[in-house]
Amino acid sequence: MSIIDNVWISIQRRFGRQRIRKFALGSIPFIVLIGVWQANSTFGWLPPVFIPELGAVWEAAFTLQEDCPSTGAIFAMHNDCLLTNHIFSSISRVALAALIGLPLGIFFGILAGMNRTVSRFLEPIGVFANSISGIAWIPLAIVWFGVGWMTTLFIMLNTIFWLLFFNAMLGVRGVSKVYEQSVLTMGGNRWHLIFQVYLPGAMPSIIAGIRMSMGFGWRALIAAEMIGGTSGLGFMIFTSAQDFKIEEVFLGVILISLIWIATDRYLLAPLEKWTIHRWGMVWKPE
Amino acid sequence: MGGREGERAGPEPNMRTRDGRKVLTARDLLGVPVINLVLVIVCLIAVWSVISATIENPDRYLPSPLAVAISSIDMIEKGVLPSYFGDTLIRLVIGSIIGLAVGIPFGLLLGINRTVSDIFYPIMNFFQSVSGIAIFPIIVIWWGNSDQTVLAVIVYTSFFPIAFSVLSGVREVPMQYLNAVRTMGASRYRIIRDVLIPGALPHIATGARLSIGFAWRAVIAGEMLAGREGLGWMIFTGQDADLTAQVILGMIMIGVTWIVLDHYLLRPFEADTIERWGLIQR
Amino acid sequence: MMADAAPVTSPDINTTFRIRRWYRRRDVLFIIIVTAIVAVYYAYGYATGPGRITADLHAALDADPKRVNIVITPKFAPEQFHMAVFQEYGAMRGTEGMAATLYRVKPADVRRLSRRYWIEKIDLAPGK
Repeated sequence: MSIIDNVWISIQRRFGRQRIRKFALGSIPFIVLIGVWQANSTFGWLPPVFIPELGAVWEAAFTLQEDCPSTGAIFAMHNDCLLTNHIFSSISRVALAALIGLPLGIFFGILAGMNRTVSRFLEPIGVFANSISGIAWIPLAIVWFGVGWMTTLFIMLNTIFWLLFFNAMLGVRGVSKVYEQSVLTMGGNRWHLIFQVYLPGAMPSIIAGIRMSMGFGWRALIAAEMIGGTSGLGFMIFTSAQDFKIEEVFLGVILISLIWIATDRYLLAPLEKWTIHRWGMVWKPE
Repeated sequence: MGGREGERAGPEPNMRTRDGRKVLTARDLLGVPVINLVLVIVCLIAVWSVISATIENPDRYLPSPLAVAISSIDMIEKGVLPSYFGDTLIRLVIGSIIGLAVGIPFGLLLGINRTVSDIFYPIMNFFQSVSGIAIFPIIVIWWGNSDQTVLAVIVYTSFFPIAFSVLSGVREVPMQYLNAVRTMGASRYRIIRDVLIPGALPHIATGARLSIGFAWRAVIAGEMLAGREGLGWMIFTGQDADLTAQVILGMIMIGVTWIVLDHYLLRPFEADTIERWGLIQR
Repeated sequence: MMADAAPVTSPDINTTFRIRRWYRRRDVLFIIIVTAIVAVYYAYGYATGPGRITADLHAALDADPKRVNIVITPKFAPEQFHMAVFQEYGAMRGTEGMAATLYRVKPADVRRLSRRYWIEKIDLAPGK
C-alpha cells in the first residue's frame, strides 16, 4: 500500500467516513459560491457596487483598522480602530444584556409561575409583550433614551427578558403538582420548593428559552443598532450601506453571522447538552 | 432558532356542554376566561394612567391611554390607519406566500434525498444566521428603498424556518409506511404524494406558523428601515415627529395583530392539521 | 366546536366520532370571517362612491374624457398623508381650506378616489 492509502485510511479512522463525506458534501456550496463570487469579479457580470471583489472585502477589514495606533489601543477602544470598536461594542452589549436579562427573566418567570393565580394574571401580559417583537420597541426606546447605546441595550434586554420570563413561567407551570406536594409533605419549605422542584423542573424550558432568546436578542440588537445606535456592527453595516461601501457591508454581514454561529455552536448548544441532555430531561436523537 | 414557546396548541379540554351538545362559549373564543382578560386589561390601563399622570412630560414620554385612544380615532377618521394597516398586511401575505411557496418544495427536495440535504444543510444554516435584518443593507444597495426590498427581506426571513421544518417533517415519516408503500409497488411520485407529504403535514403546519411569525417581524423592521408606508413606518415617523401617542398606538396594533393572527389562524391551523394528519403523538 | 351532535350527522353514515368538515376548521372560519369583513369594507366603498361625485362631474365623466380636473374635499383639512395620496393620481394645483385641486386625473382614478371613506365630495374644477 502506498503512502497515500495509509494517510487516507488513518484520516478515515480518525474522523469517521460519514463525517468526512458530510463535510466534503457540505462544503461544495460554499466553494461554488466563492467561485461564482470570484468569477463575477473577474468577468464583471455585475458591477462592483453590487457585488464587491473578494479581495476588497478582506482588505476592508484592514482599511477600517488602519488608523489604529497599536494593539493595545484596540482593547482600549480607541476611536480610530473602527472595526474592532464596532465588534467590541456589539459583543459587550450582548454580554451585558445576557448578564442582566437572563437572571432577571428566570427569577421573575419562576416567581410568576409559582403562584397559579398570579400566573393566570401574568400570562396574557407575557403573551402580549412577546408579540410586540423587540424591533417594534425601538422607536419608543429612542423616545425614552435617545439614540445611543442605552437604546440598543434596552432593546436586547427587553427581548431576552420577556421571552425568558414566558418560558420560565410556562416551565414552572408545567411541573407536575405531585412533586410540589411530595416535597411539602416531607417538610420542605419554599426554598426547597424553588431549588429542588421548580428550578430543575423548569430547566428544559429555561435552557431552550435561553438559546431562543439569545438568537432573537442578537437579531434585535443588530436592528436596534441600525435604527437607533451610534456604534456596533448593525450601525456599521447600515451607515456603510448609505455610503454605498458594499465591501464593508459584506464584511459586517459575514462577521455578524460568524459571531452568531460561533456563539450558538460553542456556547449555547453545549450549554444545552451539558445541562438538560446530560441530566436526561429531554431526549434528542443526535 | 425561533422555537415554540412551549404552549400546548389545541382546543380547551373542557368544553361546556348543554344537553350533551357542545356549546361555543366566550372561553373557547379567547382561550382564557373572559373575566380574566378583562381584569388584566383594566389593571394595565389603570397602572398606565397612573404612571402617565405622575411623570413630568407625559405627551412625550408616556401618553395616557386616553391620548392614545384619541390619536387612534383621529387616525381612523382620516383614513390613515386602515391604509397603513392594509399595506402592512398585504406585504405580509405576499411575502409569506412566496416564502412558503419556495420553502416547502425546497424542504421536500432536501428531505427526500439525503445527499442533497448533506450538500445544502450547512449553507442553509449559514444563511439563516445571517438574519433578514443583516441582509437588509445589502439588498438596499441593490434595489434601493423600495417595496421590492422589503418583500425580498420578508421572503428571505420566512424561507428558512419552513424549509427546515419540512425537511425534519419528511425525515420523521416512519420507515414502515415508506416500506409498505414500496412493497405495493409505488413509484417515486406516489411515495411523495401519498406518504411523505401527508406525513410531513404537521411539521409543515408548525413551520408555516414559525415562518409567518418571522415574516411579521421582518415586515415591521423592513418598513422602518426602508421607509415604506405601513405600521412599522408609522411608529418610526411617530418617534421622529414626537408623536409618542402614535408610537404607542402602533405598538399596540402590532401586538394585537400578531396575537389575533397567531391564536385564531396559525395555531388552529397547526392544531387542526395535526388532529387530521398527525401520525406522531406530540 | 360549534353546536354539533356527538354521534351521527346523517342517516347513512354511522360513526361515533364527530365528522370533520373542512369549512368547520377554526382557521378556515377565521379566513372566511376576515374575507367577509374586507368584502364589506370594499362594498361600502363601491356603494357610496358615486354619491360623492357631484352631478357636474358625473356629466363630465360620462363624456369619457382622457383627463379631468377635479376639486376634492375631504371631511377635514388634508394632511401630508392625503396630499401624497392625491399626488399619486394627478398633479396638485393648490388647496383652499379643505378643498384640494387636482389636475389631469384619469376618470378611473376619479372613481377610485371617490370610494375612499374619508372624502366628502369630488367636484369638477372650475374653468378648463
